[in-house]
Amino acid sequence: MGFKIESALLEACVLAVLSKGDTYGYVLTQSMKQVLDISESTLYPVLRRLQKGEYLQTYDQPWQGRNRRYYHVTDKGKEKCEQYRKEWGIYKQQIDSLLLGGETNE
Amino acid sequence: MNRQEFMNRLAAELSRLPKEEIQAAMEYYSEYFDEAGPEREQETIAELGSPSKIATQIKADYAVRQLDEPGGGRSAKKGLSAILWVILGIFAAPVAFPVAIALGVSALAVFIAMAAVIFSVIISLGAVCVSGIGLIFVGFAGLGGSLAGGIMLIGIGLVAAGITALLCVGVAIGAKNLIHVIVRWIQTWRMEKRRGV
Repeated sequence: MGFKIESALLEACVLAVLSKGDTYGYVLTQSMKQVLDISESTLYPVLRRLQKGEYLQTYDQPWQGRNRRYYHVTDKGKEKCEQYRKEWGIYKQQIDSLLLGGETNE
Repeated sequence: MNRQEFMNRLAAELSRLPKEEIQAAMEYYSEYFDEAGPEREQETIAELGSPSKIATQIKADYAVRQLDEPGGGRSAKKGLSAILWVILGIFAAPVAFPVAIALGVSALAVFIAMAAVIFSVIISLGAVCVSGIGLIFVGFAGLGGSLAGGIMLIGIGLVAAGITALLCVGVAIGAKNLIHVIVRWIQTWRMEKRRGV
């Protein structure tokens, strides 16, 4: 795809996906990959950043003799997600108005 | 490349980050491999791409985070330790300044002394060389008087001039290498200091 996904947008998507339920890195990556053309290694820095900003929390759950690290959206993360959704709505309209017509050059 | 090699390379690439960051990244990718399963190991490595690329992304993100959050937990600790260092510096200044100056001056003195020794060795070798050449002329001049004596003087002069000329070259090469080693020493020392080792 010609458009490169910007990191704030990626953060927003991660928050939105995780808002639907906690999950671990691998599943999150796979489900994001089903929709978006992103590389496997793109997501880790995003997760780390969100975690450091206290938008995400992690907890470990034992599974087959090892741990799975689950990511959970904090209250702060939910707020951020809502903010991102609003901002996206505005941004989308702005781009649409330019890209899909409406605006005319005099 | 197998999983182990991949993880080793990633760890090596991240080695300059704080331990906590390295561990988090290693755990994440280790879990990722576990989830993919051993039968998909090669596929996963291919999908993930090169460890250095992954490491670059992680390092870039870390750097941005450090810039963005001067009040974050970690950098606050760093800021505190920076303040402590400043306070320590102020208290230590009356002692540290003279000590630093003394250290600098004595390093300079050692350097000058070494240069002087090298210089004097070259000069004295040069002197012997020149006198050897002089001796050759004296020998030629004396050939008329005593053939044996003249030839002996020429011989001594040639030997002295030849050996000292060779030694001069040797000393010059030695001195050059010495300076090289010292410069490299100072460079690595400064680099380590910058890295905070």
